[in-house]
Amino acid sequence: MKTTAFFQGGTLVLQGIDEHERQPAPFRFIKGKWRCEGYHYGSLVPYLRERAIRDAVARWQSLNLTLHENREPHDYQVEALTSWENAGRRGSIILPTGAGKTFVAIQAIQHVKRSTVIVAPTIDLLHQWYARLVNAFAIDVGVYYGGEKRVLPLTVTTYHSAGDLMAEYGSTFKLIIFDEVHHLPAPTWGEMALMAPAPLRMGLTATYPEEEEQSNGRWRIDELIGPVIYTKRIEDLIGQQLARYRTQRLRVDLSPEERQSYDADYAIYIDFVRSRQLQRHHGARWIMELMRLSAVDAQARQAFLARQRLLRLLACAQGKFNALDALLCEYATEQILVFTEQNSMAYEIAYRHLVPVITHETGAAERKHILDGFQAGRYRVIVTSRVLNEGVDVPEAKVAIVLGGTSGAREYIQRLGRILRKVENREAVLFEVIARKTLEEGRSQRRHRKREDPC
Amino acid sequence: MLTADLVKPRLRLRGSEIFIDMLNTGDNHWLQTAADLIALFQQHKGQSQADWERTLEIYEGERLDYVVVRGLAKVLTDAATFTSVATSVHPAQIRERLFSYGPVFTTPQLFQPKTRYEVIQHVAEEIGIPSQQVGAMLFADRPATYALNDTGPERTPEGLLARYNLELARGVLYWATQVQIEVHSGYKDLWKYLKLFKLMFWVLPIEPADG
Repeated sequence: MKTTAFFQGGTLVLQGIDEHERQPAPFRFIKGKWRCEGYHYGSLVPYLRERAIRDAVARWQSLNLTLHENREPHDYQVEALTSWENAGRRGSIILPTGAGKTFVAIQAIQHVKRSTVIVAPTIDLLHQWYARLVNAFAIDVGVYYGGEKRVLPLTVTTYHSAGDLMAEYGSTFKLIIFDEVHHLPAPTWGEMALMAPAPLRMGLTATYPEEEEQSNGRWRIDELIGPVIYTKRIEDLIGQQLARYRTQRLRVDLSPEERQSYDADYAIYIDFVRSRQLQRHHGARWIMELMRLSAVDAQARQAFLARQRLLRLLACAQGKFNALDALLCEYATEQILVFTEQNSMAYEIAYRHLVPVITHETGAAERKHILDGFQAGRYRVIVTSRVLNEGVDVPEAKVAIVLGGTSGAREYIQRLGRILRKVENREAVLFEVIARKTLEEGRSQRRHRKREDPC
Repeated sequence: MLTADLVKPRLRLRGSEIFIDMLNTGDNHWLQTAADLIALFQQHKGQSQADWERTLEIYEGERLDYVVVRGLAKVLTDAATFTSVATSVHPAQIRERLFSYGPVFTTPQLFQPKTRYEVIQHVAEEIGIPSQQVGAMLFADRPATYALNDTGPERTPEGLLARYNLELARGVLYWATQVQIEVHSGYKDLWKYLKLFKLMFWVLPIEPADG
């Protein structure tokens, strides 16, 4: 009997081989057939050939693509693409936000000329990719997400919807491009990368996850996509593609009342953390341990609550409002993005200064209205909590104000990227407003050190 | 439905078996907690969601069993309805008007001679609402400002505890990647739901017992 390998709902299935004919890993005998997850396809092709198993998996098409974009790639974009080609068209590329990752992807699609699917983390980014692809290739591009499902040889989807897309159409794409690939270790978001048989893969990000975040116990990014094959850091690109920028730190004082309550809470918190040596025993996960303890240990609970209170106090310290006031006046002709630590602070600023606010609560229509208005110059200032963090273009802003220093290094770099896309040769300024003699100072220093580290 | 952070701390793993730390519905401590929460919730009728969250936080205080307190409160709030307070003009429209003046300040500036107060006066007049209401209406479409208008089915403290236990069990089942069910009767209902939710399933007859 003729044996065949075919694709079914995210898995590869061998037809016509019974249980006694042992198949090598990763195949397992499940429900009457030898099966494995789709992503093994690339490495199994030689095996299928050698055993003369008919390969009915690949259903992708050749595409006749002409690139309509006439901008020249930068040297580093060419280098990135060459490294990817040399690595067998697999692997992740790390480029700072604003350095033109999308353009690298478009070049890759042009080289491969086979059906391709792009996976983006948000619907905003999906729309952005859609527009870029239509402009680049002047062909119809499919989209697959909650609102719209149209599958074409070039399709853009979201991590959220990609599982459904892969189950049904997984075998119709030869190349998958993962935008903001650091999302892949998330439990449900990674499933579709396991399901897809596409042998060619590209990951794009500005912030590749730290070693311990790359795996989630079931899969690692490099196993699903290939290793990191190209890295360019923000320092290497300043002036070339990204605008020159400077970071300026503004230290503000807490008011006497704020200082008093900060010191009191800080003492409760730090005494506990030190007395139990949480950081020494638990490393980076010490905060998880504090949370766990706070459900069984009264002192831990008090320490945790004290920490919560002092973070709140720092997030909306009066001095930060005053500093913001001064900056908004000083840069009266510039377009400004203001980032806050907490939603409530973002709404408070919107209320005080009557400027548009974008948070996760903001609906799609209003959000678009605000961003369009900002682009058109109708709005001069946008205040936001954590929404504009990833890759949504807001190139007009040349001044960013970050109120608060408690966000992680990743967020910081993403935020930095926001104002850095080079429009003219103008210097961008990033103001970081932090409270003096609080834990914000330590955090902000840590962040700067990290950026200076050679990698 | 209880979120993972409210369910996980109530689970005990022994070997390959998972146990749910359910509440004893006759325990006075829990009955008192449930009664307190029900009473607080009733008092909150008409007030905003943000207010309710603050009240809960105060009630929790330094209690170590805050996971249960939050879980019980979640069961109450899930069955209740918070609705947006009706405004004569849609908040988004007010925002669009007001924000086109921003940024404004409490004192006049060279580039923005109108103060915040003047801008609000002006816009309120334009759209025909009292200027004192502008602040409250500005973000009246945010869920945090929604008012509690229906507290849901009436609950006794025992009833709330029982419902909480049920929700814990549901939370665990929700994570199951497969479930084995022995069906002795009522298989038609089960069939109906298998089809409705398009679940993958595998049916095997149960071996008849000896004799």
